[in-house]
Amino acid sequence: MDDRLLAQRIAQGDNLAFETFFNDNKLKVLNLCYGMVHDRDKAEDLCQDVFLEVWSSISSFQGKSKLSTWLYRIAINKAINYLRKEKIKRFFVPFESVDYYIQSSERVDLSMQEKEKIVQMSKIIDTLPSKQKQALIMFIYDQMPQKEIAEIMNVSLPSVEVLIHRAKKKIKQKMDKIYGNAFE
Amino acid sequence: METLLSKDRLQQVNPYMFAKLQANIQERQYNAIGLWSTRLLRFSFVVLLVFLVVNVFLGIRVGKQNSMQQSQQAYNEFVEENSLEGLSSYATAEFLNQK
Repeated sequence: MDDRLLAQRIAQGDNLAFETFFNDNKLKVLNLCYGMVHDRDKAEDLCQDVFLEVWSSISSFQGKSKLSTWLYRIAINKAINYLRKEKIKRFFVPFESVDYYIQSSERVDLSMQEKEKIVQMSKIIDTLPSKQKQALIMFIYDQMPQKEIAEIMNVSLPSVEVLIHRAKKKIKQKMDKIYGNAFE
Repeated sequence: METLLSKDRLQQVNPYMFAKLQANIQERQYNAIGLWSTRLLRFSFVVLLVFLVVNVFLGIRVGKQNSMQQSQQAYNEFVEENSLEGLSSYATAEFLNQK
């Protein structure tokens, strides 16, 4: 269905259209939020907020970009706002540590070492500059093509390539410091 | 690195998420009615407050004007009654006789 038509139908209160749109994008939005906050429950809450925002402001969608691009922009902004609030909260309550809830810890097919490495990488990802983190998460957690990431972030394709390359390099350097040759 | 991180991807969504979302939407719609009535009530209160302030201000202004008018009138009456006595200390006897 054409994006404008779909947006129009959602704006008119068509529940079926909204459910279809939700089902088509829920996992991507959830993974995007999860990649940003590293907590399944918080990611689910954020995902809910994102779709609630879509529902309430769909009439402002002008069709200049794809509906999914618009949706991911909302998701990124929500996640960034959430992290900003958390940062302020942690400033006032400095002893409250961040819980790195790793979904893979529930998975039996991963070794303890792999789970530990994922936790370490999540911690390193959190220290990356915001743009690098966004690009990397969309690339790895959402498995988005770099062209789409460029559209969402409103930057050029080479910029996205550079952002992802730098992010990976930093993670590798820091992981190598901890584990020696971390990805051998 | 990518392979390892991609293993951390979530594979499924909470099946009740859409139902929860719909409940949130309905709650928001319901709250929106309450929100508008609250806004209307607040607006009415502000308008009432403005009227009250304007009324008090105008009341003070009119009261001031009235008291000024009264004192001016009293002064005029006093001058009319006592003008000759007042002049006596400054004007000559001839002038007063002429009057």
